[in-house]
Amino acid sequence: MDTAEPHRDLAGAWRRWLLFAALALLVVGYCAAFALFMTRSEDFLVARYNQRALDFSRGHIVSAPAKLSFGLGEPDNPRLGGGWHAPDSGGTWSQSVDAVVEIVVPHEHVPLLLRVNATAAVLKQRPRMKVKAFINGMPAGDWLRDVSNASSPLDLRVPASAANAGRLEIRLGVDHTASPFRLGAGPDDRQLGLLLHSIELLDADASR
Amino acid sequence: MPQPGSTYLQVREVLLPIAAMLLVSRAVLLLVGVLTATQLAPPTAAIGHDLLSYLCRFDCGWYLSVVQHGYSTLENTDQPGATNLGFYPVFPLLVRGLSSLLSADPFHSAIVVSNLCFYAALIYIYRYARLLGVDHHAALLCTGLICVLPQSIAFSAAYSESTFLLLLVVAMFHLRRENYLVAGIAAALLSATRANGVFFLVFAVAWLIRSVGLRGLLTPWRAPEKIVPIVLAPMGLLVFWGYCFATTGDAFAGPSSMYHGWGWYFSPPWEALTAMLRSDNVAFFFGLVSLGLLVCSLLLWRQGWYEEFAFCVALIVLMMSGAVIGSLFRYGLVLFPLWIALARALAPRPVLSALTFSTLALLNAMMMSAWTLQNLIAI
Repeated sequence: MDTAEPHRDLAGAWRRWLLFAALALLVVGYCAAFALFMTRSEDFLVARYNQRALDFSRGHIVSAPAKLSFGLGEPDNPRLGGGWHAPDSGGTWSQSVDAVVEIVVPHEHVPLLLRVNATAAVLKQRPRMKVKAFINGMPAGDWLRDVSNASSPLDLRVPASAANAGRLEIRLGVDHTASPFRLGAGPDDRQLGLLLHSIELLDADASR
Repeated sequence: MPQPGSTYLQVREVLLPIAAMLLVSRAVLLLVGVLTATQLAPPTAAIGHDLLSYLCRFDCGWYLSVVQHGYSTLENTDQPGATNLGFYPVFPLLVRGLSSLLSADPFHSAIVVSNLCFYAALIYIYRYARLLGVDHHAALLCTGLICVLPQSIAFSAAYSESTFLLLLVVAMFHLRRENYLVAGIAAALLSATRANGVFFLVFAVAWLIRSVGLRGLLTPWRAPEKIVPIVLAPMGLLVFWGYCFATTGDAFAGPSSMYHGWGWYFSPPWEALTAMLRSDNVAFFFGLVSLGLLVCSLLLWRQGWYEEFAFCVALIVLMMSGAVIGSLFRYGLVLFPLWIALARALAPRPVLSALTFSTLALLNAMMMSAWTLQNLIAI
């Protein structure tokens, strides 16, 4: 009777389970690392652009009434944080579903109304676009844009707490971006959201 | 026909013909580069006349910046958002290793690494074709086709294409030979050479299903050695992501840079294909290339090479999903199973073989001209 055979089988089984445990551990490690990356990672370029925009805006404080213009050669382009393409003539297109503008106003500013003059990238193939705005993380309005009102201004009432703090981090969000090239609507192969022309700072009380 | 163990025959029938095809094709491409620079380039074009300078275009500078200065978050002033974090580390590490070893300058080391990898990859592709049951002549024809594919200059330039090709064929070859650890290590390095290397998983899973069935796939503890390549394959990518996370706070610094600097984003492949085919510029040709690659992949299905078919289709769909449609020629080069299937189909038809070979060589020469002139079609 060969007594070595069961021993070999046992050793084989033991090694098999050890290898399986090691591989399972590795997969768990991957999942943990991936979860960490997904939850803690921040787009380093967006973070840089946002910081750059904030630094510029802190050095260029504005108060109402004022009009900030964006587009090729416009002086307020440095207020644009992450999520924007390079400026075009007539405005600057947002590149992603979330784009940031930094504005700093004097502390204890009068109640503010921001009038965002922008055109939504409404194409025949994607005829509707939902737009949402946040100021310092707080919802400041949402709109539905289509061909009839693609260029209507977006009025954002600035919460008193935000106006008092001085820093206005404006996030302009869209539910989708669209590439005219991909949709057969033109040669531009960029992803486009909102074409930001200007932002007017108005005294909210006066504009009522 | 070379037999296993017959070293002399292996050298005479395989290694020398492959070396000859590689050298001749490179020499012709460089000659085309020289002729383009001297005859076609506008007088204002700043083209270096050092022969090896033709092997450095477009992304070459990015790879060399990683080799020379390591990874950096500095953006290119002419291309906001573009950083060298978009380029994966295995090729630059090999170049840096060789450069340190031989005290050679990084560019020349990069050329040596690329060409050595290309030669080794061609030999492995020959062996892979033979493993699939392809005869000697068709296997050699395949290596010849790869040498003349449009934009095959990327295999000899300071680019990661040849390293990727070598690691891909090594991983696939050793998986088919059931050398799981070697396949797994090659696969891990592959995903750290280019992010799409992780698509080796498609091949490995398809192979596993075919060899042990779906039930075997769902009970991996029965034969855990078979899943070693699958588990190891994403490791390279995750290690690089970990490095990016530790240094920039953004694990996906590579994709971030590709998005902001190169305009990369994902969209449905059918949108891309229809957009390319509708286009009246160079994108139309990229659309044709995508279709051509898909048609070639059907040859894999016809041959019964389902694992290779799944892998190639997955990579072609990925290529079409990327919004930057340039570089499609270059990305298609590494799909070597397609070229094996094509060579097998062509081998019994000498006239068609010659015609295909000449057409590809002509297109390759045109692409070399575009590459020399830094025309965007060759990016």
